[in-house]
Amino acid sequence: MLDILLTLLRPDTLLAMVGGTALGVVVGAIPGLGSILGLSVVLPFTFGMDALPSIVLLIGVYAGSVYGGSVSAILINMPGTPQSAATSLDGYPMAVGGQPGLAIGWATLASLVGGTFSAVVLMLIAAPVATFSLRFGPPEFFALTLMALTCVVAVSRGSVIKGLIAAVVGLFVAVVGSDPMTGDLRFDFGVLELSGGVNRVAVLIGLFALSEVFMQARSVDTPTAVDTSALAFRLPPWSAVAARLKTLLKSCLIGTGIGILPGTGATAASFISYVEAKRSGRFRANFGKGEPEGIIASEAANNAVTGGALVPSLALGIPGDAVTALIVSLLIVKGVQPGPFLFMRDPGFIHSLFAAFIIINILMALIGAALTGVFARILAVPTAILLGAITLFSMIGAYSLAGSGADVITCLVAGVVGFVLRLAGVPLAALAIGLVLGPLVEESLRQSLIMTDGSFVAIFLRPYSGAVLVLTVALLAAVTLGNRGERPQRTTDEVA
Amino acid sequence: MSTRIADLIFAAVLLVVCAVLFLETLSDVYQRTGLGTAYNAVFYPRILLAVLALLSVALIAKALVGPSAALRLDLSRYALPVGGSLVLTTGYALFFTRLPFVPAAILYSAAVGLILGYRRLTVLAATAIAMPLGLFLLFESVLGVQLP
Repeated sequence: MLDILLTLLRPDTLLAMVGGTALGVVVGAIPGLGSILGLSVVLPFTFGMDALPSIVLLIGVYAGSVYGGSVSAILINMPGTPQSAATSLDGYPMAVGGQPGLAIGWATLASLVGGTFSAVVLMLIAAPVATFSLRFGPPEFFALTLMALTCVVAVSRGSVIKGLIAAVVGLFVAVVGSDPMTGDLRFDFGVLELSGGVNRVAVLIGLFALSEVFMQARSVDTPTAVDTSALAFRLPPWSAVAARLKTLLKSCLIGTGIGILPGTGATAASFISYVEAKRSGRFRANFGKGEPEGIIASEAANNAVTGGALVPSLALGIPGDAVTALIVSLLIVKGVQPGPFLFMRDPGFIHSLFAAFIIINILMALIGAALTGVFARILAVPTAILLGAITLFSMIGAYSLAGSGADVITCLVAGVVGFVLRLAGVPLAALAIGLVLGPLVEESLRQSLIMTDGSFVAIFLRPYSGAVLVLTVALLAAVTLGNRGERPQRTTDEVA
Repeated sequence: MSTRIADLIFAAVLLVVCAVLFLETLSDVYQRTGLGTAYNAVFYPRILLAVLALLSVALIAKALVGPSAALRLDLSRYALPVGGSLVLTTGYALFFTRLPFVPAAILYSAAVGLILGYRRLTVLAATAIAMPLGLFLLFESVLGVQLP
């Protein structure tokens, strides 16, 4: 316990927690940037750091940005991140009604409770999940990776075929370099820099940060002016919170549960939670008119996703979305292999990470409260200047991976390809998951085939891999039934 | 252009890429890999290419049979900001290691701001100078990352 405390009090870890969370809140508040771009921007800062402060920095940005998205949703009816879209439904009417500071107070309280709840769940179930997964062999891990990829594709926006294409492209990019079983070179085309494989972190920076720059270049808007006259942070009274406690707890459960599932993410969680609160909440008649219950349903759920999403990423080494894919990639770069053995070999690291995650959620609320007065200025930063800064950070981030110009070119190529794929309606999250899971998919498949004498069917005839397959089919059926009747989204314009 | 044509072009490009990469797996160098093991180095990539080709065919079928809609690609509006930022960023990336960081970053930041339509020149100049300088000092002095 004392060791954990001393680790967290180290200046670099403290700075990473405070700086990452503050930056996350700011990045989340600016419409169009979001969690993954925030993470890409801070990557260069991690290369001089140890593993723990690096991951703490990324998790701080992640948690902070999910909360920060609520600020612009409330103040200008323009969610800073998609995760906060549901927050604007009641947050903005409350702000227009003359209580923007109180609306931010509700969002802050709900985010704090949601994030902390998910951190506690993470602490309680990650280790048992990791221990249980020690019973898994290559067939089970192959089934789990397939489940993660399938779920990400199933819940992606737009066409399922394009989602599958993205996942396979990601898996293929991961095969470039040496064969993990024999060491033979593949698809290096005589280029020395490709013999060690494509740098996954450089690809992820390009895919998400650079492609976002090109996407936003299509419509650089003038920032919206915000009236700051009533913008003073206010926490709601306890009686008002107590009256909405049931919705708050239910939203925490929904968010954490959805976070554990691969692919679904905070946007789905916030909307599902909002709809559930609108159906069963005590104040459902006031929804859409500035009802705090709507704000807490959305914000508690989207922040509760953060801890849930870290469960499979840390316990199994299987990320469920693009943000956790980047976190897992950075862990690997730092020489930390997430998965069951991490819990056995380095429990101190894991416990420090859990404790840091709880502190980050508390810091997020404090920073949110402190920054309320300056949010109006943050929202006024010109997009044209921001985009130039994002490109600089992306290039430095790619370069500082190995001091190599090849990684900068990789980042650029990934950025241009990502831009084209987004125009074509291909979900990049599926590509990112495929890229990160690629080596695990290949190794587990080939080892499984050796175990089953080349039979693909026999891989799924084992109890656990069969159970994972059944669970995957059940999840797919649930998603498909849920989506039945919805029209395709890509009808009149390009889909990002 | 319609979504149908866009999807057909996208799927056709993927099929061509699959074919080129599959031909690459047939080259002599891969036939000598994985000796003594059950599967050689291109066993798994071939599975992926086969799946990708099947998905491309499925996309073509869906584009031909499914509904189509017009794509609103306002090229006259996008051409300068998107094309300009693509060209500038490509040039900046290609010369990233060959040019000194600070002057190149100043020029890049100012040029991108102008291309994206920002016209408050004093603010643009101030941020274009301050940001690269600040980044250089931060990375070189504090974080110990050697920039070009």
